[in-house]
Amino acid sequence: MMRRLFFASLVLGLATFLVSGVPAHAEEEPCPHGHAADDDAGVDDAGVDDAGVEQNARRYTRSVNTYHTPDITLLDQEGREVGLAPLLDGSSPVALNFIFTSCATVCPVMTATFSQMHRALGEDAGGLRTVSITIDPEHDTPRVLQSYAQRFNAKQGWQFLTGDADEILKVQRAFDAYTGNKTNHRPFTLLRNGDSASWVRIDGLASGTELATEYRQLRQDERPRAEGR
Amino acid sequence: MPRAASRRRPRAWALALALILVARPGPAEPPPARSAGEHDAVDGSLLELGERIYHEGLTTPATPVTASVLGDVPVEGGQAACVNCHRRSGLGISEGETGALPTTGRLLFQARKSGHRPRPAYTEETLARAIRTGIDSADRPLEAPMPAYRFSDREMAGLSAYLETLSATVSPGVTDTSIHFATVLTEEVDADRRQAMLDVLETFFNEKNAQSRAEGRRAQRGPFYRDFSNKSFREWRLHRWLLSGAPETWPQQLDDHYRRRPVFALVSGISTRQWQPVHAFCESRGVPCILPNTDLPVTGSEDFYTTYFSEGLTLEAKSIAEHVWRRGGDQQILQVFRPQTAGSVAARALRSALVERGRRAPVDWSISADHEITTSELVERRGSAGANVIVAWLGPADLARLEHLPRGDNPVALYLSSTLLDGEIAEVPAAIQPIGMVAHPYTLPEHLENRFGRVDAWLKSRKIEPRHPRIQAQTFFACMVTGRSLMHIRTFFYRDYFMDSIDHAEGLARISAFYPRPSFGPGQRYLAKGSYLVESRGAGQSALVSKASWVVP
Repeated sequence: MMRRLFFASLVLGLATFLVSGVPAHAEEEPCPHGHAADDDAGVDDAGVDDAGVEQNARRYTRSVNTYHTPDITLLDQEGREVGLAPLLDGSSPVALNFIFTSCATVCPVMTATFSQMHRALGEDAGGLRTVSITIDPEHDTPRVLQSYAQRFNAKQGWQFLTGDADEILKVQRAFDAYTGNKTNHRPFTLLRNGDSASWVRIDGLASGTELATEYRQLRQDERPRAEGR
Repeated sequence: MPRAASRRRPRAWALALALILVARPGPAEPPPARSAGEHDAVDGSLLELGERIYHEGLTTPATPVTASVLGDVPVEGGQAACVNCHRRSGLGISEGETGALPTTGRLLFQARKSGHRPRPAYTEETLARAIRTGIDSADRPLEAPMPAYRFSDREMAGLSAYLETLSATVSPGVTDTSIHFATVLTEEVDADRRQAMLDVLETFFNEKNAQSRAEGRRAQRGPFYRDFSNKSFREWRLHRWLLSGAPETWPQQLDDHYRRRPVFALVSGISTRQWQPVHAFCESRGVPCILPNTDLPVTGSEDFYTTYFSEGLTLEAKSIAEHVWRRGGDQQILQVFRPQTAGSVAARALRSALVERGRRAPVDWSISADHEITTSELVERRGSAGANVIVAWLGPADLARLEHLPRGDNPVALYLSSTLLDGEIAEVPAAIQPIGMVAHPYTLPEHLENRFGRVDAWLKSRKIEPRHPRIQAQTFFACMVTGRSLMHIRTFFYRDYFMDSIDHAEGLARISAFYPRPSFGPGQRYLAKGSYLVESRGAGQSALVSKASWVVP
């Protein structure tokens, strides 16, 4: 009996040792979502979740917010100075997003989506201004933005803005776009009807058609109010 | 009966034991590719097709790939190239809440049993379905930013064959127990500066190898759930590659060094000559070169393997061109420099910056090595050039000879280089202070104490005198970046993945002491992109109140 127990525990012990010796990487992969862990700002690297299915069923959420546009001057892709408040708070409707040109994930998609939104809107665009503000101003100079705009066949009138890093930080904070680190950014789009105090915020990746629908809805919802004034 | 039972049980255990033994994979490396060597047999043109699709988004040199994303957004060509998201290593990245998963053949064609998005191994059929329709091998939709591509069967086969080659072989310079690095030193560098760099490197390496957390032992005996990360520990071995003689002979010397001892990467390094030969070596061999101490890097580089602190003196030249333009439009510039020096490289850079922007070319005044510059000469040259801006690419000895320039009718601005002043922007000679502007791509003196504090403490606690703070801070930072990136790639010792991981070391960038607005980013190869233009009047009077404007040229 004792011998059997001894033998059993020996084999069990050996097996345990061997199991513990199996490199877990037999099925390991590099953690592509771990890069943010390099961040001294302590950004959590667990951003990628398993919500793939839900995200695709409904890739975005919609909310209505008010923001205070900072009174600053930025530069467009031609190097021209642009007052941000007159641009965003004027009487024209505006679609705004935040991007950076070396982004390797969502920015190219967001940029292509803006183009598609315009195509989907056609005549309904109604003087819509499209504005993309970089969150990497040190790299994205007007010249860099210009070539980025060309790469995406950005239509006439689409403004890509950059500026001093501190000013860009102000804009990001004003529109709740600041995530501490450009590679930790989240995709969202802001839509505003001309003369409206509020913005529709589309968090996530909406398609071109979805953005166009949201924009039409916004125009429709706010028309009676605008006309009633 | 008890006897029979006692015989049966050990047999079952023995079977389990045998299975475990058979299942136990080899040491530290990731598992072999499903088809190691198989792609050798693949038709070369098919691989070429796959490579073109992956890197350029082209199916022929003139035909862009077409795809759609989010259901209705058309993307094509370079916009839809796989490398944009999955990166050169094919091992993917993440930004914010979105990740691009690894897409190397060896990982695609094995099951992911746990972790993020478990799925069965891909087959050629399910891979084609994923790429064409966005449904993965577990019948679930892929991440939203993944486009659905319109590929022919041949294009699909080419891409699949190419994916098999991505990160398929562990890079040279890595053994089971050690990882080899080299640092390049060129013989003309002052011995004290060279030693300043080596002190930091050797101390950093020694501490890494001291295994204060018993990394080596953990790798051997760690519990299985920590096994993988512990397995990545390697002793860091540093090799000095001293280059001597004419730069034309450096490529051969580098090759010889590499043949004798292949290294995983070059870390730091120091030269007062142009870094180009080392850069070219690294690009051709695919060897990473992490943040060398050079003021004369390759500029405008879109290459992959060499990452610099900045464009060095060229950054200063471009910033001066931009500042002159902002202050007074297209003005005539006279630039003075000594031939065959760093100053002459800067002068060439200023000329190109002006010409590229369609502005007036500068008038060059090249003064020979034995000629002593005088104020009257400078005034005369300025007059004949019709210039009201002078850029002096000179060091402290030359500048000390200058006396007050007569103000005259046209106010003159005199631009200087902080690098050529060895960073001592408060030491601009009094005579020229009133008209001086210094291009200073470094942290302002009044902020430096704070920013340098971390490195200073590190040095002092190791009894290293901060004799050359910029060299020491830069070297320390190069070590930090190397360490963090190695930690990140774990046992995936692929140089491309190492470089890809540096792209995302954005948070780390901020601890580089000497660069005020540093940033990493995908494909970005210069940590700092802008420069201060400091009024030397402010700098000379009080180091605490520099009047400075920031220029990103």
